[in-house]
Amino acid sequence: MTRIISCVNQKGGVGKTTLCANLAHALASLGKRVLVIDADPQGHLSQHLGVVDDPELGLFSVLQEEHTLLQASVKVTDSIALIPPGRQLVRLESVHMKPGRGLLLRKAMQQAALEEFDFVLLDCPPSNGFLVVNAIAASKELLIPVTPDYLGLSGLSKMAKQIKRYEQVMGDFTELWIVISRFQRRAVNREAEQKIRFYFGDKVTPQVIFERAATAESPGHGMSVLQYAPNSKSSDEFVALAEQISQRGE
Amino acid sequence: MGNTHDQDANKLGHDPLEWLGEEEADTETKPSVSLEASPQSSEPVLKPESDAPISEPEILEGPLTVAQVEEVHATLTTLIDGLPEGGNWTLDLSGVTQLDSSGYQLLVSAFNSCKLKQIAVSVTGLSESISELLTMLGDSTLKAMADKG
Repeated sequence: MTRIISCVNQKGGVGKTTLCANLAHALASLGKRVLVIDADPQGHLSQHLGVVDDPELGLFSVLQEEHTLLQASVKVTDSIALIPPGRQLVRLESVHMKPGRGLLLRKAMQQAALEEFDFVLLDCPPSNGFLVVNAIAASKELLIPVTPDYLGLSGLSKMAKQIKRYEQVMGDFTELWIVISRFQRRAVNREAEQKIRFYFGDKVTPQVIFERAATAESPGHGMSVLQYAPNSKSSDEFVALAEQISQRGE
Repeated sequence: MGNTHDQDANKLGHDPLEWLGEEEADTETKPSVSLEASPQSSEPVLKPESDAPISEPEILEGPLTVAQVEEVHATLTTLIDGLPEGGNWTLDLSGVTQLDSSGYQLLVSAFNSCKLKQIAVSVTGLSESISELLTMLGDSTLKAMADKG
Protein backbone atom coordinates (compact mmCIF):
# COMPACT_ATOMS: atom_id res chain seq x y z
CA MET A 1 0.00 0.00 0.00
CA THR A 2 1.28 3.42 -0.95
CA ARG A 3 2.22 5.61 1.99
CA ILE A 4 1.47 9.28 1.42
CA ILE A 5 3.49 11.66 3.57
CA SER A 6 3.42 15.46 3.58
CA CYS A 7 6.58 17.20 4.67
CA VAL A 8 5.12 20.26 6.31
CA ASN A 9 5.94 23.14 8.63
CA GLN A 10 4.66 26.65 8.17
CA LYS A 11 7.98 27.94 9.46
CA GLY A 12 10.53 28.42 6.70
CA GLY A 13 14.14 27.26 6.77
CA VAL A 14 13.54 24.13 8.82
CA GLY A 15 14.75 21.73 6.11
CA LYS A 16 11.54 20.52 4.45
CA THR A 17 12.97 20.46 0.94
CA THR A 18 16.30 19.02 2.04
CA LEU A 19 14.48 16.30 3.93
CA CYS A 20 12.19 15.45 1.00
CA ALA A 21 14.95 15.27 -1.59
CA ASN A 22 17.31 13.22 0.52
CA LEU A 23 14.67 11.00 2.05
CA ALA A 24 13.41 10.16 -1.45
CA HIS A 25 16.87 8.96 -2.45
CA ALA A 26 17.42 7.22 0.88
CA LEU A 27 14.15 5.32 0.50
CA ALA A 28 15.11 4.46 -3.06
CA SER A 29 18.42 3.09 -1.76
CA LEU A 30 16.35 0.72 0.38
CA GLY A 31 14.57 -0.54 -2.72
CA LYS A 32 11.47 1.64 -2.41
CA ARG A 33 9.77 3.38 -5.34
CA VAL A 34 9.04 7.01 -4.56
CA LEU A 35 6.90 9.74 -6.10
CA VAL A 36 7.87 13.20 -4.88
CA ILE A 37 5.53 16.14 -5.35
CA ASP A 38 6.94 19.64 -5.32
CA ALA A 39 4.06 21.65 -3.89
CA ASP A 40 6.20 24.72 -3.29
CA PRO A 41 5.95 27.21 -6.18
CA GLN A 42 9.62 28.07 -5.68
CA GLY A 43 10.44 24.66 -7.17
CA HIS A 44 13.46 24.10 -4.96
CA LEU A 45 12.78 20.39 -4.51
CA SER A 46 12.80 19.97 -8.28
CA GLN A 47 16.10 21.83 -8.52
CA HIS A 48 17.56 19.76 -5.70
CA LEU A 49 16.66 16.64 -7.66
CA GLY A 50 18.29 17.97 -10.83
CA VAL A 51 15.15 19.18 -12.63
CA VAL A 52 16.27 22.75 -13.21
CA ASP A 53 14.41 23.80 -16.34
CA ASP A 54 11.10 24.47 -14.57
CA PRO A 55 8.78 22.30 -16.71
CA GLU A 56 5.51 23.89 -17.82
CA LEU A 57 3.53 20.83 -16.78
CA GLY A 58 3.24 20.05 -13.11
CA LEU A 59 1.11 20.18 -10.00
CA PHE A 60 -0.67 23.31 -11.25
CA SER A 61 -2.27 21.47 -14.16
CA VAL A 62 -3.07 18.49 -11.92
CA LEU A 63 -4.96 20.76 -9.53
CA GLN A 64 -6.67 22.36 -12.51
CA GLU A 65 -7.81 18.84 -13.45
CA GLU A 66 -6.16 19.19 -16.85
CA HIS A 67 -3.66 16.37 -16.38
CA THR A 68 -3.30 13.33 -14.16
CA LEU A 69 -0.49 13.05 -11.66
CA LEU A 70 1.36 10.54 -13.78
CA GLN A 71 1.00 12.64 -16.93
CA ALA A 72 2.65 15.52 -15.07
CA SER A 73 5.49 13.44 -13.65
CA VAL A 74 9.09 13.42 -14.77
CA LYS A 75 11.58 10.63 -14.18
CA VAL A 76 14.39 11.42 -11.77
CA THR A 77 15.86 7.92 -11.44
CA ASP A 78 14.53 4.42 -12.08
CA SER A 79 13.00 4.52 -8.59
CA ILE A 80 12.04 8.17 -8.23
CA ALA A 81 9.48 10.23 -10.15
CA LEU A 82 8.80 13.91 -9.57
CA ILE A 83 5.78 16.14 -10.04
CA PRO A 84 7.29 19.62 -10.47
CA PRO A 85 5.24 22.63 -9.37
CA GLY A 86 4.49 23.92 -12.87
CA ARG A 87 5.15 27.52 -13.77
CA GLN A 88 1.83 28.89 -12.60
CA LEU A 89 1.54 27.18 -9.22
CA VAL A 90 2.20 30.48 -7.47
CA ARG A 91 -1.27 31.57 -8.58
CA LEU A 92 -2.85 28.92 -6.38
CA GLU A 93 -1.14 29.98 -3.19
CA SER A 94 -3.70 32.71 -2.66
CA VAL A 95 -6.78 30.82 -3.83
CA HIS A 96 -9.66 31.32 -1.41
CA MET A 97 -10.71 28.17 0.36
CA LYS A 98 -14.21 26.94 -0.37
CA PRO A 99 -15.85 23.58 0.24
CA GLY A 100 -14.19 20.89 -1.84
CA ARG A 101 -11.13 22.90 -2.77
CA GLY A 102 -9.07 21.29 -0.04
CA LEU A 103 -9.67 17.87 -1.56
CA LEU A 104 -8.52 18.39 -5.13
CA LEU A 105 -5.14 16.73 -4.68
CA ARG A 106 -6.64 13.84 -2.75
CA LYS A 107 -9.04 13.30 -5.63
CA ALA A 108 -6.16 13.39 -8.13
CA MET A 109 -4.31 10.80 -6.09
CA GLN A 110 -7.35 8.55 -5.89
CA GLN A 111 -7.62 8.68 -9.67
CA ALA A 112 -3.93 7.98 -10.27
CA ALA A 113 -2.39 4.52 -10.32
CA LEU A 114 -0.18 5.18 -7.34
CA GLU A 115 0.21 1.52 -6.40
CA GLU A 116 3.41 1.42 -8.42
CA PHE A 117 4.92 3.62 -5.70
CA ASP A 118 5.73 2.63 -2.12
CA PHE A 119 5.90 6.24 -0.99
CA VAL A 120 4.54 9.61 -2.06
CA LEU A 121 6.41 12.51 -0.47
CA LEU A 122 4.97 16.03 -0.71
CA ASP A 123 7.16 19.06 -0.12
CA CYS A 124 4.92 21.87 1.15
CA PRO A 125 5.57 25.60 1.01
CA PRO A 126 6.13 27.42 4.31
CA SER A 127 2.58 28.69 4.54
CA ASN A 128 -0.86 27.56 5.52
CA GLY A 129 -3.03 28.14 2.47
CA PHE A 130 -4.60 26.24 -0.41
CA LEU A 131 -1.54 24.20 -1.39
CA VAL A 132 -0.75 23.07 2.14
CA VAL A 133 -4.39 22.23 2.89
CA ASN A 134 -4.51 20.10 -0.26
CA ALA A 135 -1.26 18.33 0.57
CA ILE A 136 -2.26 17.57 4.14
CA ALA A 137 -5.76 16.45 3.18
CA ALA A 138 -4.22 14.00 0.69
CA SER A 139 -1.82 12.55 3.25
CA LYS A 140 -2.10 9.87 5.87
CA GLU A 141 1.18 10.76 7.54
CA LEU A 142 2.93 14.03 8.32
CA LEU A 143 6.65 14.57 8.45
CA ILE A 144 7.58 17.69 10.35
CA PRO A 145 11.17 18.87 10.33
CA VAL A 146 12.02 21.12 13.25
CA THR A 147 15.11 23.15 13.99
CA PRO A 148 16.24 22.68 17.60
CA ASP A 149 16.10 26.28 18.75
CA TYR A 150 13.56 28.69 20.20
CA LEU A 151 11.99 29.72 16.90
CA GLY A 152 11.86 26.10 15.80
CA LEU A 153 9.95 25.19 18.94
CA SER A 154 7.67 28.17 18.49
CA GLY A 155 6.87 27.00 14.95
CA LEU A 156 6.32 23.46 16.18
CA SER A 157 3.89 24.77 18.78
CA LYS A 158 1.79 26.41 16.06
CA MET A 159 2.06 23.31 13.90
CA ALA A 160 0.82 21.10 16.75
CA LYS A 161 -2.28 23.28 17.15
CA GLN A 162 -2.87 23.19 13.43
CA ILE A 163 -2.58 19.40 13.32
CA LYS A 164 -5.23 19.10 16.04
CA ARG A 165 -7.60 21.10 13.86
CA TYR A 166 -6.98 18.83 10.91
CA GLU A 167 -7.46 15.72 13.01
CA GLN A 168 -10.78 17.01 14.33
CA VAL A 169 -12.04 17.13 10.75
CA MET A 170 -10.16 14.29 9.05
CA GLY A 171 -9.48 11.88 11.88
CA ASP A 172 -6.04 11.07 13.21
CA PHE A 173 -3.05 10.75 10.94
CA THR A 174 -1.65 7.24 10.95
CA GLU A 175 1.80 8.58 11.79
CA LEU A 176 3.29 11.90 12.79
CA TRP A 177 7.03 12.09 12.30
CA ILE A 178 8.96 14.91 13.91
CA VAL A 179 12.51 15.11 12.63
CA ILE A 180 15.06 17.29 14.37
CA SER A 181 17.00 18.88 11.55
CA ARG A 182 19.90 21.28 11.13
CA PHE A 183 21.28 20.10 14.45
CA GLN A 184 24.59 21.55 15.65
CA ARG A 185 26.57 20.65 18.73
CA ARG A 186 25.42 23.57 20.82
CA ALA A 187 23.87 23.66 24.27
CA VAL A 188 20.76 25.40 22.98
CA ASN A 189 20.25 22.67 20.37
CA ARG A 190 20.64 19.90 22.93
CA GLU A 191 18.21 21.62 25.27
CA ALA A 192 15.65 22.11 22.51
CA GLU A 193 16.00 18.46 21.46
CA GLN A 194 15.30 17.39 25.05
CA LYS A 195 12.15 19.46 25.12
CA ILE A 196 10.89 18.17 21.78
CA ARG A 197 11.43 14.56 22.88
CA PHE A 198 9.81 15.26 26.25
CA TYR A 199 6.62 16.60 24.69
CA PHE A 200 6.35 14.42 21.61
CA GLY A 201 7.94 11.13 22.76
CA ASP A 202 8.18 8.46 20.10
CA LYS A 203 6.78 10.74 17.42
CA VAL A 204 10.30 12.16 17.27
CA THR A 205 12.54 10.01 15.11
CA PRO A 206 15.62 8.66 16.90
CA GLN A 207 17.72 9.87 13.97
CA VAL A 208 18.68 13.53 14.04
CA ILE A 209 19.81 15.34 10.89
CA PHE A 210 22.92 17.42 11.48
CA GLU A 211 23.78 20.65 9.70
CA ARG A 212 26.63 19.50 7.45
CA ALA A 213 28.57 20.91 4.52
CA ALA A 214 27.68 18.08 2.13
CA THR A 215 23.95 18.63 2.71
CA ALA A 216 24.34 22.31 1.93
CA GLU A 217 26.46 21.72 -1.17
CA SER A 218 24.46 18.98 -2.86
CA PRO A 219 21.48 21.06 -4.15
CA GLY A 220 23.84 23.23 -6.18
CA HIS A 221 24.84 20.12 -8.09
CA GLY A 222 21.25 19.00 -8.64
CA MET A 223 21.86 15.94 -6.50
CA SER A 224 20.76 14.45 -3.25
CA VAL A 225 23.49 14.11 -0.68
CA LEU A 226 23.39 10.36 -1.28
CA GLN A 227 24.51 10.98 -4.85
CA TYR A 228 26.83 13.89 -4.10
CA ALA A 229 28.63 12.41 -1.09
CA PRO A 230 27.53 8.78 -0.78
CA ASN A 231 30.04 7.93 1.93
CA SER A 232 29.35 10.99 4.07
CA LYS A 233 27.86 11.08 7.56
CA SER A 234 25.03 13.13 6.11
CA SER A 235 24.17 10.37 3.67
CA ASP A 236 24.23 7.81 6.51
CA GLU A 237 21.85 9.98 8.55
CA PHE A 238 19.24 10.09 5.80
CA VAL A 239 19.48 6.35 5.18
CA ALA A 240 19.06 5.67 8.89
CA LEU A 241 16.05 7.99 8.96
CA ALA A 242 14.57 6.26 5.92
CA GLU A 243 14.97 2.90 7.65
CA GLN A 244 13.16 4.17 10.75
CA ILE A 245 10.29 5.66 8.75
CA SER A 246 10.09 2.67 6.45
CA GLN A 247 10.06 0.09 9.25
CA ARG A 248 7.71 1.74 11.74
CA GLY A 249 5.04 2.61 9.25
CA GLU A 250 4.78 -0.91 7.81
CA MET B 1 9.41 26.45 31.89
CA GLY B 2 8.17 24.47 34.85
CA ASN B 3 9.11 21.04 33.59
CA THR B 4 11.33 18.56 35.34
CA HIS B 5 13.63 17.58 32.51
CA ASP B 6 15.44 20.85 31.95
CA GLN B 7 18.50 20.62 34.12
CA ASP B 8 20.47 23.04 31.97
CA ALA B 9 17.51 24.98 30.65
CA ASN B 10 19.22 28.33 30.54
CA LYS B 11 20.02 28.68 26.86
CA LEU B 12 16.64 28.30 25.26
CA GLY B 13 14.69 30.86 27.29
CA HIS B 14 10.91 30.61 27.15
CA ASP B 15 9.37 27.22 26.30
CA PRO B 16 6.80 27.64 23.48
CA LEU B 17 5.67 24.02 23.88
CA GLU B 18 4.69 24.32 27.52
CA TRP B 19 0.97 24.32 26.68
CA LEU B 20 1.30 20.71 25.55
CA GLY B 21 2.09 19.68 29.12
CA GLU B 22 -0.85 21.68 30.45
CA GLU B 23 -3.29 20.30 27.91
CA GLU B 24 -3.30 16.84 29.43
CA ALA B 25 -5.24 18.25 32.37
CA ASP B 26 -7.50 20.44 30.27
CA THR B 27 -8.89 18.45 27.39
CA GLU B 28 -11.64 21.00 26.78
CA THR B 29 -9.30 23.61 25.37
CA LYS B 30 -9.74 22.43 21.83
CA PRO B 31 -9.11 24.86 19.03
CA SER B 32 -12.06 25.80 16.86
CA VAL B 33 -12.68 23.45 13.98
CA SER B 34 -11.79 25.04 10.70
CA LEU B 35 -9.29 24.26 8.02
CA GLU B 36 -9.67 27.67 6.52
CA ALA B 37 -6.69 29.45 5.13
CA SER B 38 -8.38 32.58 6.41
CA PRO B 39 -9.10 32.47 10.14
CA GLN B 40 -11.91 35.01 9.83
CA SER B 41 -14.14 32.74 7.82
CA SER B 42 -16.30 30.13 9.50
CA GLU B 43 -16.67 28.00 6.37
CA PRO B 44 -14.86 24.69 6.83
CA VAL B 45 -12.77 23.53 3.92
CA LEU B 46 -13.05 19.80 4.15
CA LYS B 47 -16.69 19.29 3.42
CA PRO B 48 -17.87 16.58 1.06
CA GLU B 49 -16.38 17.09 -2.34
CA SER B 50 -17.63 19.61 -4.77
CA ASP B 51 -16.18 20.05 -8.18
CA ALA B 52 -15.46 23.73 -7.71
CA PRO B 53 -13.04 24.67 -10.47
CA ILE B 54 -9.88 26.58 -9.63
CA SER B 55 -9.81 28.49 -12.87
CA GLU B 56 -11.74 30.99 -10.90
CA PRO B 57 -11.80 34.72 -10.81
CA GLU B 58 -9.49 36.23 -8.24
CA ILE B 59 -11.75 37.51 -5.50
CA LEU B 60 -11.10 40.73 -3.65
CA GLU B 61 -12.94 41.07 -0.38
CA GLY B 62 -13.50 43.73 2.26
CA PRO B 63 -12.56 47.38 2.02
CA LEU B 64 -10.05 48.48 -0.58
CA THR B 65 -8.85 51.79 0.72
CA VAL B 66 -5.57 53.46 1.53
CA ALA B 67 -5.23 51.21 4.58
CA GLN B 68 -5.23 48.04 2.50
CA VAL B 69 -3.52 49.06 -0.74
CA GLU B 70 -0.01 48.04 0.29
CA GLU B 71 -1.06 44.51 1.17
CA VAL B 72 -3.37 44.12 -1.83
CA HIS B 73 -0.71 45.57 -4.11
CA ALA B 74 1.72 42.84 -3.01
CA THR B 75 -0.91 40.15 -3.62
CA LEU B 76 -1.88 41.46 -7.04
CA THR B 77 1.74 41.90 -8.10
CA THR B 78 2.51 38.27 -7.22
CA LEU B 79 -0.59 37.11 -9.06
CA ILE B 80 0.10 39.11 -12.18
CA ASP B 81 3.75 38.02 -12.23
CA GLY B 82 2.50 34.44 -12.28
CA LEU B 83 0.10 34.95 -15.18
CA PRO B 84 1.26 33.84 -18.62
CA GLU B 85 1.63 36.47 -21.31
CA GLY B 86 -1.41 36.70 -23.54
CA GLY B 87 -3.64 34.93 -20.99
CA ASN B 88 -6.95 35.86 -19.40
CA TRP B 89 -7.63 37.13 -15.92
CA THR B 90 -10.92 37.75 -14.16
CA LEU B 91 -11.18 39.88 -11.06
CA ASP B 92 -14.27 39.46 -8.90
CA LEU B 93 -15.05 42.63 -6.96
CA SER B 94 -18.34 41.40 -5.48
CA GLY B 95 -16.80 41.22 -2.01
CA VAL B 96 -15.38 44.75 -2.06
CA THR B 97 -17.28 46.73 0.52
CA GLN B 98 -15.52 50.06 0.21
CA LEU B 99 -13.32 51.69 -2.40
CA ASP B 100 -11.43 54.97 -2.28
CA SER B 101 -9.20 56.71 -4.78
CA SER B 102 -6.12 54.76 -3.58
CA GLY B 103 -7.89 51.47 -4.11
CA TYR B 104 -9.14 52.59 -7.48
CA GLN B 105 -5.65 53.71 -8.50
CA LEU B 106 -4.27 50.33 -7.45
CA LEU B 107 -6.77 48.48 -9.61
CA VAL B 108 -6.06 50.65 -12.63
CA SER B 109 -2.34 50.17 -12.09
CA ALA B 110 -2.82 46.39 -11.90
CA PHE B 111 -4.80 46.43 -15.13
CA ASN B 112 -2.07 48.46 -16.81
CA SER B 113 0.47 45.84 -15.71
CA CYS B 114 -1.75 43.21 -17.31
CA LYS B 115 -1.97 45.24 -20.49
CA LEU B 116 1.82 45.26 -20.75
CA LYS B 117 1.74 41.46 -20.61
CA GLN B 118 -1.13 41.38 -23.13
CA ILE B 119 -3.39 39.78 -20.55
CA ALA B 120 -7.10 40.22 -21.20
CA VAL B 121 -8.74 41.38 -17.99
CA SER B 122 -12.41 41.26 -17.13
CA VAL B 123 -14.11 42.48 -13.99
CA THR B 124 -17.14 40.86 -12.38
CA GLY B 125 -19.30 41.54 -9.36
CA LEU B 126 -19.35 45.32 -9.41
CA SER B 127 -21.88 46.29 -6.78
CA GLU B 128 -24.26 49.16 -7.30
CA SER B 129 -22.55 51.31 -4.69
CA ILE B 130 -19.07 50.72 -6.12
CA SER B 131 -20.44 51.33 -9.58
CA GLU B 132 -21.90 54.67 -8.47
CA LEU B 133 -18.58 55.57 -6.89
CA LEU B 134 -16.79 54.79 -10.13
CA THR B 135 -19.15 57.09 -11.96
CA MET B 136 -18.35 59.82 -9.46
CA LEU B 137 -14.62 59.21 -9.95
CA GLY B 138 -15.08 59.61 -13.68
CA ASP B 139 -13.91 56.04 -14.26
CA SER B 140 -13.84 54.60 -17.72
CA THR B 141 -11.42 51.70 -17.17
CA LEU B 142 -13.13 49.44 -14.65
CA LYS B 143 -16.62 49.83 -16.01
CA ALA B 144 -15.43 48.98 -19.50
CA MET B 145 -13.84 45.84 -18.14
CA ALA B 146 -16.95 44.99 -16.17
CA ASP B 147 -18.99 45.29 -19.33
CA LYS B 148 -16.59 42.86 -21.03
CA GLY B 149 -16.80 40.45 -18.07
